[in-house]
Amino acid sequence: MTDHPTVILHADMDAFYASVEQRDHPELRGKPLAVGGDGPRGVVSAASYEARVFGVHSAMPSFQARERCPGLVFVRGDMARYANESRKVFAIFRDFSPSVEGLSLDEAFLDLTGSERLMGTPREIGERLRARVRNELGLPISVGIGPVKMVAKIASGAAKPDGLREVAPDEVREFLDPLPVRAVWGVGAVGEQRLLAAGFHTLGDLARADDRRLEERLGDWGLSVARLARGRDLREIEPYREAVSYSEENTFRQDVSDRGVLEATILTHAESVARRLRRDKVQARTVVLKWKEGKRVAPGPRGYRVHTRRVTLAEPTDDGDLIAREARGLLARAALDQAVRLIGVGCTNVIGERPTQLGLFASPEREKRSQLNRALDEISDRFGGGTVRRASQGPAERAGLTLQIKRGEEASGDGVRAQSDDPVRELDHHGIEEEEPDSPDR
Amino acid sequence: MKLSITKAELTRGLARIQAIVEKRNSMPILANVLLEAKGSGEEGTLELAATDLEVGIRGLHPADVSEEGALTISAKKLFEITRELPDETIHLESTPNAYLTIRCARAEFTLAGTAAEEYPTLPTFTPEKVVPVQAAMLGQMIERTMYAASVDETRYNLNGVYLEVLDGNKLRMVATDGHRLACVDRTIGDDAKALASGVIIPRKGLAELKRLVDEDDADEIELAFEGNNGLARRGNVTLVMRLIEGEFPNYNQVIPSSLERQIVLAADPLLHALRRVSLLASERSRAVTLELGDGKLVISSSNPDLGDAREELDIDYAGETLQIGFNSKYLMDALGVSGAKEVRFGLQDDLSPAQLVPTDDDDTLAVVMPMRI
Repeated sequence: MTDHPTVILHADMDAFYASVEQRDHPELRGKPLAVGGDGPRGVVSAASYEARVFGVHSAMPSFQARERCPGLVFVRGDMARYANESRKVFAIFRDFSPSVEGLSLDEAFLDLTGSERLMGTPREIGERLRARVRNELGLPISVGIGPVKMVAKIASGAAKPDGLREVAPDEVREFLDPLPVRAVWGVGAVGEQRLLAAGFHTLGDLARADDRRLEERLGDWGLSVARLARGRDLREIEPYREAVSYSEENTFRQDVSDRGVLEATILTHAESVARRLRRDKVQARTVVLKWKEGKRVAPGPRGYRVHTRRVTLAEPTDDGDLIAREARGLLARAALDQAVRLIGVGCTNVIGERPTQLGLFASPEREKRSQLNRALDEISDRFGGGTVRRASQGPAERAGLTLQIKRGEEASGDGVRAQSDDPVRELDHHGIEEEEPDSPDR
Repeated sequence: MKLSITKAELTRGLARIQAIVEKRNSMPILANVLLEAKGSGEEGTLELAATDLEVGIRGLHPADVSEEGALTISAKKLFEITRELPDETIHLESTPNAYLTIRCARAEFTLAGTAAEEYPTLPTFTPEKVVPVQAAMLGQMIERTMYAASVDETRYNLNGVYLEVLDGNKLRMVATDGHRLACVDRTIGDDAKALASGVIIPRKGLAELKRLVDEDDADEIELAFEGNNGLARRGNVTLVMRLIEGEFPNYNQVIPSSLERQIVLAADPLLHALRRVSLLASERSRAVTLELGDGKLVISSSNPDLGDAREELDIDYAGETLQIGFNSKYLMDALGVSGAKEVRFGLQDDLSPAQLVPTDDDDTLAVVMPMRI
């Protein structure tokens, strides 16, 4: 680490899909616009600012959006085009920082730490970045700057639309304190209720709270939420580390003892984990199977017995089928005598793709699989969000299981943490990842 | 047990077993050496034996035995003591409660030992037929292959060197870790027929064998393999080991049969250029890029944290340009042991195995799989 104070920039395209449509179709400019299906089951995936005035927002059912905004124009959307625009946007991001962490097609964190001498103040950099995106791509973008990721992200939200907001280290408290607790990363509806019930309404309430009281009332979780509320985001201590493990798990709505269902669920998780390995251009050598027994053995949320089994492969892989085969093998060797409450598949021992040592004995079959996977990835990239939809529409869902899937991407550096029971990432219904506050990771 | 032995003889015997005695504490007695006095008078022998249950070694040393008997004693301590003793006759004597007294000139030590009966039996077998092999040649074969064996315990079938008999008179050794492969053939004569073919000698056993080969002793070393066991004998020393049970991969399929591009390079300058350029390669991948162009080979590396390195070598080549990545260590390992002045470097394309062969020794072969860069 350098001696420079950390400076994080969060860049977020404004109503990205809608802005691309308005740029390319001048007749849509100035009109309330929704990208998404307009059929009875359609959902809005992006709404222009003109539509947002009427209360239309993404993930809203289309019929409801139309009720709120009678003049709403619907555009079906073209994921391939948006993905292509996204590549151009990220190319610009990368001109401003070597550390760019993409969160989705239209937003990213940039680490500006120590770049002042070379590139100017953070605000100057932010304005130049906005100007380039506007001039070269004709798209609006908002930028937030802060000493930690969470502050930068909240700042970019405050800057919208088409603005810039910088929060200097000594302004963090003033900036965060009045915000509702829901603004803390990883605090969802349930977390909000817990905090409100405990008497915490704003980030200021949390920031001022005594640690002992927090721990008494909310446990470790309370401490970590308060840490975030104070603007101390532990995830910034070592930003942009490589992930050392990838995992996905789900809790069944009802405990499962049918091996067929377990195996099908394993395949769903394995495919999803493999896709993320490929997305990050890495491969993994160790496959981990985790399951939780349905029988409660102690009170509290951790009152279930958790098992993990792992196997290390001769060659690293990013093939879901192979990962599933290994994980199923682990399941087969495990003497299951209890119904299963939760099952998950993970990969550790992650090896970066390039340069990759090629294997002498790699089978032609392996090469074929990897071509097939690349082709499938391309298709799912083109149609966007396929990753998430496929994972939740897999056999697990058909078996009448919960849609709740937790995804983990750990960078603890020792690999052992891969076994930990902490949910690391939660997936909401349209694929934007929300972080749990007790995760030290990105 | 009571005997007298020269310092030189005892030191030599104890030095030989130091690598075998178990350093981990899984079974404390494995840190001991088994001493056994046999015969009587000046015709007697002292047998020194040690094992880690996978590999065992037994050496016979001339000694003046006045009382037969056996005892086990810390191999390391006894070695340290012996080394420091004056160059005179050493007298060893055991007591009934398993103590060993060591006397030499005016020095005297008493060491606590363990009864011989508690020492695990060494893996052993009496071979029907042994095959003599030139020690120096065997040493060279081990040196030129062992480096390529896998150290990854999950690939246990690659944790050793595969040994096979070819054409009834040739010995072949092959090792691979899945990324590179080394293969050496040597003619040993018709005796080779008697040797069991297709065994995998574990790395540790091989290291002991190499040590035995490097000792100053008889020119020949006798080998025998039977079932799961291997045996090597040289003079009064016998090495026994458990072989790796497992199937060695079909290595023939990865040895390139024809290569489109062949360049000849002086081995030393190539090795040194690789050493220099690899200084800036990433520590994890050790990747260097080789670019084959008209009349020159450019070796380069780059590291985002450090910088770039580049070196050119003149070659006799006039063909299509080829850019190919390698783990520099794999190339350096192969060059380092080949003993060649000049090597032929054969390449197909950037994703196919490359081959390094000394120009004066077609039977020493290294195959290296490239890196995708």
